[in-house]
Amino acid sequence: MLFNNLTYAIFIPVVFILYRIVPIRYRWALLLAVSYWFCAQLDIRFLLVLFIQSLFAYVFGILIDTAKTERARRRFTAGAAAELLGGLVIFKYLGFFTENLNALLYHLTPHGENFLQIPVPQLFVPIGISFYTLQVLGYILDVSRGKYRAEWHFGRFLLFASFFPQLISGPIGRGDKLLPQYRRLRKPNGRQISMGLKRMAWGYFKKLAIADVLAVTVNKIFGAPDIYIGLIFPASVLMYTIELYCDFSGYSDIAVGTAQLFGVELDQNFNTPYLSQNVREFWNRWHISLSGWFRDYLYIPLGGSHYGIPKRVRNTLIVMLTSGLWHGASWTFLFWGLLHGLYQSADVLITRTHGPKKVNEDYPKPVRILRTIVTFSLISFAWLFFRADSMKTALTFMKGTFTGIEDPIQYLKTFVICLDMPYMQMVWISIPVIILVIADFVSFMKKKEIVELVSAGRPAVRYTVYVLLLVGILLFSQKGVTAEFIYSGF
Amino acid sequence: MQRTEGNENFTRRRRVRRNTRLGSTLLKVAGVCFAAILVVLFLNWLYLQDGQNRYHELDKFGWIGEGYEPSYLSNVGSSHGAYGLDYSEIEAQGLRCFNFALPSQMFDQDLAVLQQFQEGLAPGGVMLIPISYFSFNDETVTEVEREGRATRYYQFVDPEYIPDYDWFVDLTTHRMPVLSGGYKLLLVPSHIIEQKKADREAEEARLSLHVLAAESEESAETADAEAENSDAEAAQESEEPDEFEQVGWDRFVRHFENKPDYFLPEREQQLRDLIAFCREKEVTPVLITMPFHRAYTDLIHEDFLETFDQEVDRIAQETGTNYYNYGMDERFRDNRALFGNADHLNEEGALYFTQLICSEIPEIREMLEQHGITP
Repeated sequence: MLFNNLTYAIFIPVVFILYRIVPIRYRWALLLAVSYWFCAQLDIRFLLVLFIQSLFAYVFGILIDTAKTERARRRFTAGAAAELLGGLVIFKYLGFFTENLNALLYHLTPHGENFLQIPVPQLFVPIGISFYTLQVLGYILDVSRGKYRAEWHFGRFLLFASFFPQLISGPIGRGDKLLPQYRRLRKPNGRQISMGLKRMAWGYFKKLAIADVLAVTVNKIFGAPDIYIGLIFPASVLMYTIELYCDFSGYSDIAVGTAQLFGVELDQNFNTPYLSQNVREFWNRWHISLSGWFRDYLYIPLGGSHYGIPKRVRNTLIVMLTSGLWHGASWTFLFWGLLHGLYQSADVLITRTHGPKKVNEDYPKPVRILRTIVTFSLISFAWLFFRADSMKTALTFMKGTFTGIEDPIQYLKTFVICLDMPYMQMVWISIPVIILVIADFVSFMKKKEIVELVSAGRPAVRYTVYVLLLVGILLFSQKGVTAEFIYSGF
Repeated sequence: MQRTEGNENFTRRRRVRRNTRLGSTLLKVAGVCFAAILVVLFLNWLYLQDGQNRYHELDKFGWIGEGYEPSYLSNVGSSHGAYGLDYSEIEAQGLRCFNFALPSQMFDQDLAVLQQFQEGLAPGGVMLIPISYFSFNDETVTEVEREGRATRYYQFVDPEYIPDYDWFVDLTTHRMPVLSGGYKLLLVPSHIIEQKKADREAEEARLSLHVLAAESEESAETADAEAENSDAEAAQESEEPDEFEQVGWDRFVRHFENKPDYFLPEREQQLRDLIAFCREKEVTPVLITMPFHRAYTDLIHEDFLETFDQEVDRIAQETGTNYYNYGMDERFRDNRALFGNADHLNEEGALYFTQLICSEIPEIREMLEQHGITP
């Protein structure tokens, strides 16, 4: 069961009613049971892995908390990290590492003999493992640093690791924020319910009316790049840029909104990322929970921005390469991470060598707009490697983009032919995208979430918006297509 | 004691206030949902005002209603059956016939249509079941096309007969087609305006009919002459070998490329179910392969044709039906004048072929003779 299945529309009201009936002291048990059932619906083996990882994290958390010496605490922390990351590596990266080791061995052995080939393990990848591993690892590190005490209630800890709205694709929560909420699960108030539903509706709009619709064209072009040429390549990358944002931020909105229905406040994961003026700012606005995790548990421990520019560049590159690898076991993800690392390093070098540090507001408006456009272009270009199934595909896109550019009229005509879509359909698809762009601009200018802005509006305006949002979901969504959330594959 | 009572009252009041707040929130949510549904219903009504959003190929089924005389000679099948059989001459002699075929219709859909209109099948009649080369696989190529074709059965077949019925498809394509209409909704206003304009022009034309009547003979002569010229040009164009053969090639590619496992066991079972249903309704099933032009059949591998014949013969034998293969018939395969394209007969070809089978296929001939009709 995914958020965009019709069964989820039945599941949520049922759980909501049960939640209101169950006494406060057993609510954690209800949410845990529902979360485990949710996971088991996907695959019972996922549930087993989740439970084992949670169990280890729980035990290590208590051992760290009660460790008598600093040495023991460090040992337990290392043990927990090794266990948690070991699980992630085994399920997610073992195949990738083995394949590449085999390729290396093949090239190292004389005459390319392949007698040293290691069998590639064909393991299943438990859904959400990248997310809940980071969440519980963050908890372990926080307990180890003495930021807060370990959770002794086993059930509540299991809920912390498995709460169903964030299980598949986050947002990656922090123990100090979530565990106190699970200790006293209140009934949500009217505002929370109202905001939760609005957030979910906005998330569904982004996922169903934009991401899934754009995915049809994007998948077609990325699936067979050899039969296309010209402008369709950058256009499809642009479409993927919007698709990915709507898919993932849509998921996050649904997750945060769902959690609010149960009185749980999760962190926002997106904040108009494509209006950033540099790549570093982008990472403060995109997948905020992951960026925050890498900042707190990797970048800062490595030394952060202290100890000079070379070390800062090194740390940035390490973090972004790790982020790339976290997204998937493939060279394209690694390259994507490297590209982002280089962008940020270049930004550090440029800003440090050109006068005092400036904030965005220091630049004149035209320059700010230009910076936003350049940043958006760089990020879109990087998404090409993120989406491409191989480096070869990405190169095909880059080479193919310039084919026929010497004749601009024909170049445009070819684009229209490749798009293979009636003019009115292009207009139709553009409508929700334009709505999104306007919403993001307004949100960016007012420095407030669009859902909150609308909620604060006059009743006539806000109720019209709610009705039109629902109508938009019904009319613009792809019917009969249940496209998985992109990040559920990570 | 007083303090405890005060606390209880406070808690009760707080609970009541919270529940009221929840109640009003849920009421607002219901109100918004209701308003959204009203808007969608209005848009759906508007969408249906546009004649272009209807399935015109299904109009023929509108004739089958209460008081409809059951049909004695009918056929199912895909476009090969839909365009290749024309019963107008037999109907002119007073015998009810019906063509149940629809483009890309497969055996399970044939059965669904027959189950829906089973009252329209006369006992003692004959049912022609066209077997095309793709019949044991699929005529459509992509999943989107397949789903698109499947949705039309939701328009006129009861859910109990629809293969793999899905209520969501029913809702979004039949009950509320605007939900799957997509960009066509944007075209509705312009189509309605165009339709109104056309209606107004027709009305004006009707009012000035007497003026036009005088001019009509003259203009008709001119139009006829123009039509003849354009027909001749069209015939000349269609005789250009490349175009006709290119279409043949395209049809061949559509029917044969990327379709491994050509003889799917489920298709065979569906054919057997169709035959059994005809028998149950006391209708004689007859398997038939429609005539094709050489531009299509020459591309098909001999081994395939041999296997195809063997398979159909086996099924015919096992089910006790007769199979007539006109696929390579010499009277058709080189005669381009009888074809609309390489694998579809044109109107002339359909009339000729129907006449031919009425006299050549014993089951049909005998049935017609029983009703005193001369083929």
